[in-house]
Amino acid sequence: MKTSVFLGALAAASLTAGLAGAATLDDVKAKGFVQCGVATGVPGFAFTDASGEWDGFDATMCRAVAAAIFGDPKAIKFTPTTGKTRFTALASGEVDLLFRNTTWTLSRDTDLKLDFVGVNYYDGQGFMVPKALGVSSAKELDGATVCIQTGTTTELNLADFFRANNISYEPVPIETNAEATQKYLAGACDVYTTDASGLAATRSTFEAPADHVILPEIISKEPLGPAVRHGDSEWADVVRWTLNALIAAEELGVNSGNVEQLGSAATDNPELNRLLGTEGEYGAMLGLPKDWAVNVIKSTGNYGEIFDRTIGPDTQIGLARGLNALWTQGGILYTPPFR
Amino acid sequence: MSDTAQPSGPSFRIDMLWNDSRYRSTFIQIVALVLVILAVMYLFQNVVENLAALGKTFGFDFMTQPASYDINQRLIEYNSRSTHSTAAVVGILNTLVVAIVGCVLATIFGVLAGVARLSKNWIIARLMTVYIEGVRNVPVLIQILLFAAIFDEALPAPSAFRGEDATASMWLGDSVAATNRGFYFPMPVWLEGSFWVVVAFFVLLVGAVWFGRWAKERQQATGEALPVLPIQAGGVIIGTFLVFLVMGMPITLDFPALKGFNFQGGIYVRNSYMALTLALSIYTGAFIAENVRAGIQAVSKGQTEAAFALGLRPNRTMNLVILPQALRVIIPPLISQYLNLTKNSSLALLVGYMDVTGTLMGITLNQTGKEFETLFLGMAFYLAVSLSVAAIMNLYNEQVKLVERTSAVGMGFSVIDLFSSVSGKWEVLKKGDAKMQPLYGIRGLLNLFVIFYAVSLLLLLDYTFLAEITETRPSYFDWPGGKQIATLLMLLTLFSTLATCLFKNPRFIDLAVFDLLVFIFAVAVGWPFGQLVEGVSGPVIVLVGIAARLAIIGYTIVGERPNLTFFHRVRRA
Repeated sequence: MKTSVFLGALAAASLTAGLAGAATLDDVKAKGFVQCGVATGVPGFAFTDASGEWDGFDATMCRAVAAAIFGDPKAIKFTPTTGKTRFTALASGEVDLLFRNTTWTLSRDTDLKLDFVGVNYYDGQGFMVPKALGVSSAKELDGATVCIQTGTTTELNLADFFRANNISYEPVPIETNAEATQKYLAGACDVYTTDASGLAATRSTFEAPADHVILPEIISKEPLGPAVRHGDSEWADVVRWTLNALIAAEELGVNSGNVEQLGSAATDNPELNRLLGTEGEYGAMLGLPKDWAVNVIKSTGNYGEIFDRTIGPDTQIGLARGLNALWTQGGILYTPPFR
Repeated sequence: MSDTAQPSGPSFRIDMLWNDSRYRSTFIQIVALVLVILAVMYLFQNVVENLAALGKTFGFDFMTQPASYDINQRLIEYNSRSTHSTAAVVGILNTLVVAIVGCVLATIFGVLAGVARLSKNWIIARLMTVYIEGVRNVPVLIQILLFAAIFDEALPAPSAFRGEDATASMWLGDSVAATNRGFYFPMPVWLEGSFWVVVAFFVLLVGAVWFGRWAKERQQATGEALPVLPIQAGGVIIGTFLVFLVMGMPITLDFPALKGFNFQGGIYVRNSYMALTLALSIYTGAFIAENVRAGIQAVSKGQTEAAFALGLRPNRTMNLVILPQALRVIIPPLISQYLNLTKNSSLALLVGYMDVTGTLMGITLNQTGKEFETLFLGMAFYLAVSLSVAAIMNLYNEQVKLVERTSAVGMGFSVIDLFSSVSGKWEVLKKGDAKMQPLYGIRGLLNLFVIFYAVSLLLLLDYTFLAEITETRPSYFDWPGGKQIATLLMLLTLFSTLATCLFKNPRFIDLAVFDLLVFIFAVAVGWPFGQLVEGVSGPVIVLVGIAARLAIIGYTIVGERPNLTFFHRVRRA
């Protein structure tokens, strides 16, 4: 009987996974909200504000998806996921999409059966150390104790980096960003490593951010992007083009201030018209309302606005656009044409 | 009238299956079995189909891929290029270390607290009540986190030991360092000649045991008691020290010293391990204390009074009269406490301790996405450990429990019955039976047998799961099915034979025969015995293995003196 109970649980688990397979867009429309998986709390990227509402770079982009479908950025529920639970949450249908600084890798795209639909932040793994240690390069970290978030690509990059440079280290695996911060500040590890954006975000919450430095080495490419389940192209298209619309809007100079006016009637710019639905049937092709992009930009702003409001140079996080500037401005942010 | 009472011909009707009590129970059991099998098949089919729908395949190929991540505490050779199966073994060993050390510590805490709670000293008794009730009623998860937080926050960072104005200093004459990353202890360094010191130590230890037995026999014969413990301890310590001096002090200590970011040298015990082991053993110790108290209180007060009346002091009353009887009550619940501790050790990841939940069912699962396979292996591991602990403890319980009427006769068939014509009739005697008094005690060749089976088991485990994977020696998961099954069977029979032999259970003889058959099966499927021990060829190992097993079985069946001292089987004259 023990076996049958075990297999029963197994079967039940996989049954729900199987059911949640296809036609996510229809499911989402039917239930009336988007279920979005975000990080458990990374300042600037996904956190709950004073009133308990989710906010941040990733969370706002998730709201953009809800705005595209329902015209309402509040038609959304958030599920905080850890590095370990995120893929299971997505595969089992617990969340509809994952907007959680997740690195796009080949094995995740194929073996884990995810579909990455784009990149919303180009990142790389860095190291943060207390200034008092007097370390200026990651190659001086021989014998150091390093805090890492377990279940992430950083864990693997770290092993590769130290191996390639033939230096030793002591990994301290930790589940969440908050625990890692606590350990790092207590001095239980010398170094904290994660994506450079995450380091900057975490440092901004310290009492004395100036006492900590982020080392110049970026040891990996970490293209962070939203992921959906494999094999549901319609839903993947919706998320992909919502992200593209945010980038295109910045490129075309559309922002939350002027979108209503620009979207009310056709303008001289055909690409702008196609984006805002005053020309063609592009919304219908995606299974969305005609003015979906207007709703998105009206409620969240364009990519640049979201960036500046949540993690930009004027915020506590203070990240520069860098690689994440538009291709026309020296970055690599680039969207396929709306036509 | 008598004619009608006779059943006339075959009168079985189909409705008798559920109406006739002769067939009913069998019929119901068969129906139930069929239903269970159908249900299992349905569920299994469901799993396979749904996995296929998700586009996932079921297989263990990933276990031979490089793991690509590092593990801090590793008891065997491991780096990020090692395979996932090696990472799993590293995790398994880490789990076992916590489980074994935790069980030992919990027993010590539990027995001390349980006895002290019954103390006549009011303060001690109340203190123990506070410990037991306080610890038992707080979730162990919180206690583990509490210990980890204390170690993290209260102990100084290694940098505090640095420089002229160091705010922290090492303990015990600069030999032990307590930091918020872990504890550093001096490590013995074995120089040339240290081998003989170790040999001397063990020889003296064996001598001390023999001396103890001799003293006991002498005491039973003459009534004179010798100061056994001081002589034993003095002999071992002084003797070893003399050899140590003669060999030119070949054992020195390697002290930890601050170098770079951390202390280097010495033995490094991580805080994650410390916090987990301490929290688990203190928590489980509180439950064991209650078991111990219950066991002691279950021994009737008349026993204590009788012992006092004979002039025994309270200490001896406890050791000689109360505890041996209390053990019978204590051991069965103790088994489940050990199992609880072992299973609770899976909370390790919370404090960043890389046990099997952290490696196999944590990072490996996450990096490969093989939920079913990794969880299946993890569950199999915990099941195997729990069943092994339960088996060992049950055998021990068999040894200490009161001999009941059924246990002397209820043996059922045993291999030994086949040899009645050779060895004469065997009679099962009860422990404590006057006839077997001269034979009672742990002695005889059975102890050599224990060593044989233990060494075989360790060699097999080492070869299967720990050895370096090379071109000629693929990982366990790449072996053909027959060899995999043979390995598991050998592990199973070696373990159970060892356990029954250790506890002198009469079932030993049956398991030894089964072990021989499995060994022959393994030889037949071509198990690579040639690689088991370096420098010894396959045929030699096979021959020695079979010969040793035959000798053990033969001796146990026809030997001069039967060695199964629990239910002694004595040949009838």
